[in-house]
Amino acid sequence: MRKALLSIGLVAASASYVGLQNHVLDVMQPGGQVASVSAVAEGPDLTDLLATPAEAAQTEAAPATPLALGTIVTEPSPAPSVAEITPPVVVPLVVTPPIASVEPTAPLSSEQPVVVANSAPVVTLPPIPRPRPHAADVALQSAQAIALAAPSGPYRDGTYKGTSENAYYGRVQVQITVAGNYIAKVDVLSYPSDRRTSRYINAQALPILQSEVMRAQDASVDGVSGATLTSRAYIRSLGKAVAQARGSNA
Amino acid sequence: MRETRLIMGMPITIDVPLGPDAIEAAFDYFIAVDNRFSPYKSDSELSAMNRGEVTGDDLSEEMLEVLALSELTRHETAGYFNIRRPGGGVDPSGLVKGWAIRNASRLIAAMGHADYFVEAGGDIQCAGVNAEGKPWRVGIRNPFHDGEIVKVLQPGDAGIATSGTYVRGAHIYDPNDGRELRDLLSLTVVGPDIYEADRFATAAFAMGRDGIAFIEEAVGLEGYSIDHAGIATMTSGFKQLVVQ
Repeated sequence: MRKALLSIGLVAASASYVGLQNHVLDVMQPGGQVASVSAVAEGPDLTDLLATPAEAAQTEAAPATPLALGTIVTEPSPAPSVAEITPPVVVPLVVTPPIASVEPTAPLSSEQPVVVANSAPVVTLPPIPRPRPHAADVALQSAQAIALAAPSGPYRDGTYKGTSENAYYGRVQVQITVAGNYIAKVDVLSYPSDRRTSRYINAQALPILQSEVMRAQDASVDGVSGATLTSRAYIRSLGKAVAQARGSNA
Repeated sequence: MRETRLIMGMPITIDVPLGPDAIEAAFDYFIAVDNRFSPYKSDSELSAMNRGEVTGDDLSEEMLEVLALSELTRHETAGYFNIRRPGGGVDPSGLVKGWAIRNASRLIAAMGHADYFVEAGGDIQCAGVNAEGKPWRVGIRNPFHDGEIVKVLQPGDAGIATSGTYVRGAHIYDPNDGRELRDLLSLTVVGPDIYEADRFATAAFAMGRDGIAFIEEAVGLEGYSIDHAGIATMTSGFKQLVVQ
């Protein structure tokens, strides 16, 4: 099996912990200095994904009715289409870290709302509109041209679309433009969300939320919250597009 | 004392001003979580479960708890949050991170510390004050520029999670008419703890522009979204958390 080497910087995920590919991380320190943390190569190599057949299976259907406020569903989910695992029915929420004992959280109960132990305010949720496949959840760390190298054979110049892959909450499809054995451009094809969710929200006459132009701040902080995620579906689709540029049928 | 290590494929920073022993214990806990839940370790319990080698009664209490919480979250978000993979098996990483940070924080508190800061891959749980005796300050990363922050929060004892994408150089557009989609790049949620903030940040981000409205309607959560054009929208209680 021919393998292609892609030098792409991938950063660890927030939605899933995808391994790092020989990438040096910049870590924010107090006062805004940046320290480097060397990463150990770990996790899926893109080359493995080029060998994986496309998976176009449907996602499991969402529950038909959103929950009313304050109720918890404790029935088991319908049998999964891939029946390898059986999720439990009701399980007491017991936190058991290996080193010190910690007080258990309240067990799941159909009479109680979701109560987060050790905190005074309770998170309660509004009714939720039925979800539809949404805009792609994709990420790309850098816009640099990505060098393609193969043991034999060039990559053909042109534009190639990867397969439409199932991402975390929707579908994603990557399109690449290859020129001179480089990926010169990456585009993500995405599909507009169903307008029903917006109509639902608008019909509730919500208060108008304040907006502002985002502005850089110059301040020292103890930490930074940010999204650093790489979509595995994006990687799969990108792999397919690259395989097409190579002319293989992987 | 403050230390950063790479575990679970991401930088994990733990700051317990008065407790180096607690820092070590918390890192050990994250390593244990990684050994159990990593989809990239073939000998993790998750991988074994996905291969069908471990089922039902043989699953650990932690695994059962994560599966139960994932199912609960799936129902509470009407399916926006779903750990099932299209090709089979499950990947609960989206829930494990916040859950593990919360557990690590409880472990630190159980060792007698009221002041701590635990961060893993951009999700944060903090309590009390830092080494200078000041309440913890958290920045929101600029989704367009990695080294910058665009907001400074003083959230008190809270969990802060950001869900989103980095789209720099890669443009998202509608293939039907070529119009560039102006969707959300990031959504930051502040909640009573990181587990709650994280799982609802994930689900709310999937709702696109409706997500911030969902956070507004939810009691106990505040949010700040940034769209593709650099326009930020915040929930009505968010301003109280802002210092800059």
